[in-house]
Amino acid sequence: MNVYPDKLPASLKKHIAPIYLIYGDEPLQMREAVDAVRARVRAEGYLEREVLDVTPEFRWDQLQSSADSLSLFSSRRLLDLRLPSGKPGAQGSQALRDYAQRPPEDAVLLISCGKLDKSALKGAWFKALDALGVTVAVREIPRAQLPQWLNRRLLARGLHFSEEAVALLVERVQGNLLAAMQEVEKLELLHGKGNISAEQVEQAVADSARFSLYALSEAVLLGDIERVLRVFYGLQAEGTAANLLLWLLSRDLRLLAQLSFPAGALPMAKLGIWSSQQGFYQAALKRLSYAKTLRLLQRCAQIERLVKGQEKGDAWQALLQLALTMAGFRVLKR
Amino acid sequence: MNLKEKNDLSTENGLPYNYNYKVYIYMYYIIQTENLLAALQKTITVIEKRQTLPILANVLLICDEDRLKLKATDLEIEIGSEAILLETHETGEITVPARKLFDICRTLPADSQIKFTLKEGRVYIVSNRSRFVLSTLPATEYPVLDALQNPTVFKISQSALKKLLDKTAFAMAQQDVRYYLNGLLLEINSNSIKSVTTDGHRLALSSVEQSLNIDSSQQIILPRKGIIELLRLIDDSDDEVEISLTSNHIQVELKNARFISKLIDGKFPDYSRVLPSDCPNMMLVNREQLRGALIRTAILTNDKYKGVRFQLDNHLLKIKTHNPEKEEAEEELEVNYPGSAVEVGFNINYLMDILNVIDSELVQFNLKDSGSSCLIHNEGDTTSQYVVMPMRL
Repeated sequence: MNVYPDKLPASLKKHIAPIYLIYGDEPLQMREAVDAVRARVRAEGYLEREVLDVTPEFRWDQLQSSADSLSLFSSRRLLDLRLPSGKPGAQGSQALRDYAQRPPEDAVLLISCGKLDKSALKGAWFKALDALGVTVAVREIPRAQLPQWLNRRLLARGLHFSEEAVALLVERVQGNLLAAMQEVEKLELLHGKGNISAEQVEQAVADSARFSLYALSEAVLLGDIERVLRVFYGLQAEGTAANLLLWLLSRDLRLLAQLSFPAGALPMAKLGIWSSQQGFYQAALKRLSYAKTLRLLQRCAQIERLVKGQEKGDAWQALLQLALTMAGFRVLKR
Repeated sequence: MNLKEKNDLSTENGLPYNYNYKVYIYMYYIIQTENLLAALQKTITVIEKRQTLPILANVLLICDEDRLKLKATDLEIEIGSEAILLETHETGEITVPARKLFDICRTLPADSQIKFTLKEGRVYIVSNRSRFVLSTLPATEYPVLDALQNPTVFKISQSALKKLLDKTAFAMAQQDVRYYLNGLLLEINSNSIKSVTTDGHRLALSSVEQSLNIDSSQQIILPRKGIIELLRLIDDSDDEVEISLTSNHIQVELKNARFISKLIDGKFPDYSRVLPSDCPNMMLVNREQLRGALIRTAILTNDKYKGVRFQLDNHLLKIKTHNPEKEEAEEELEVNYPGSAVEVGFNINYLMDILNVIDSELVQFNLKDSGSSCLIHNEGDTTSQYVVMPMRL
């Protein structure tokens, strides 16, 4: 029986299945799911836990042997099988099917398992486990659903974040739910239960944020001046090479030039711009004309000479001016 | 460096040739090879193959007036031993690579003599026409366990201690996450000493009656490696050993050796709870016959799955095994079993371990049913008892 990760605690409360198979590659939900199973069965008197790690040396006979060896101290046991590869192989597949055919009455088998592909989900061993026990697939949360997901988590903890605060947090922790929950815990420690504003998130989370180069591109294209400054100084503080920044900004300028070419602009998809980023370029095109883009590209050439020591001047200062100009900020002319 | 010139220690008066040239010699003695070898054998098994600190590969040598004292440690266990010297010219202390020194002594003739000299940070070993130069590390850096503070002290014969360990050591857990099971529980009462081991599926318990002059009973857990080392040091003699205990260390003082080990800090499970009291079905079986039957039936079991089926009815024991290839083995034994028919599964390895330490001709099995633990001991003698959980059939 398949159960969604967020429905697992409720399912555990109703009854304890003889087998739990939790698979996927999102570490936070994986950890929460296996912890929930462990905690629940421990509360039910499954006091002994045997860990079986499927390494290349692991022999699958061990599973049956462990299943059949009764314990002196505890009448109920948890067999904690770890299968990170998600591939039990021919022997493992047989061993798991045998187990499902004759599961011990005194034990729960918990399998934490890596991502399973489509063929594995149709495999005999998966079907046998699914028929007898509970299977839980943990998946990456898509960005669009992240705010909703995060809100549910916050509610469960008795916290209230403003809409902006959630949006800000989502932006910072995309793709890393472990970090997301860590930040939430941190905010709870810092500010206690109650309302959390965007500023509080900004203050607490900015300190640990690591910027990628592309965060600068995004900010520049969207014309978010404040963010441009923050990311720019962040990158500078992290010791990013100036020529990398220059490459990034000039790449964007070249793309914008192609997109605004008066005698027939190229479509974005042709230029290799991901659909998730097309909106950023759209926004930039509203500010930057073709002529202006070309002027800025010439400025890039000059900055390149600065960066490489062919001309005297402060390359970082020039880069910042370029980024801000691209973002639509009026920099004073010399 | 010219080895011959610099290191040639052969001289007429038994001193290194440059002794007279005011090169200060820090340590110089002569010893019988077999004496040094015997002392080394006692200590160096404690040294791990791979060490966290380079000096832990070394053995500490302390040259006193007429004795050489050796110490080896892995930071958990320390074993010291002694050897008598033939001649002492300079006392001193140093550490040298233990394995290399041992291999040198092992391969030299037993009746040969070794001249051992330390100068300028290197050790020169000369025996007849064999010469070796070993690197050293300073003795002051060798980690030595401190003397025990206010220990509980009692004496026990070596044979009694050996029995306690021999009868139970096999059931210690190995690398179990329940770290307190990776060792042996020693329970000291005013009139007895008990040893208990368990790996969660089986339990071994042995006790020795002895009146001890102690105030309160005490439970300690010795680590697995310590038990193995201690068993190497003691024999069946009636010589007494002195045991000193604190809350975190044990010291065993033997005639020519001293064993010190840290203890496992943990709570051993309550063993009395798992000793079955209600076992209506009693079987007496010949130990050697049962052992032979188990060895043969084990051939048709699996590497990791050593299940065996016992069928008991009307003075007949049937032993059956099978393997994934559907091959089967069956043995029949005449036993003394007046009880009702019982069928129960066991792990062959657990039974074999127990049969290896049982010394009476007949073995007594006390059974209840296929899901309850089974109590095994010498016929009519419960000083050593073994509890085995069955396997699901």
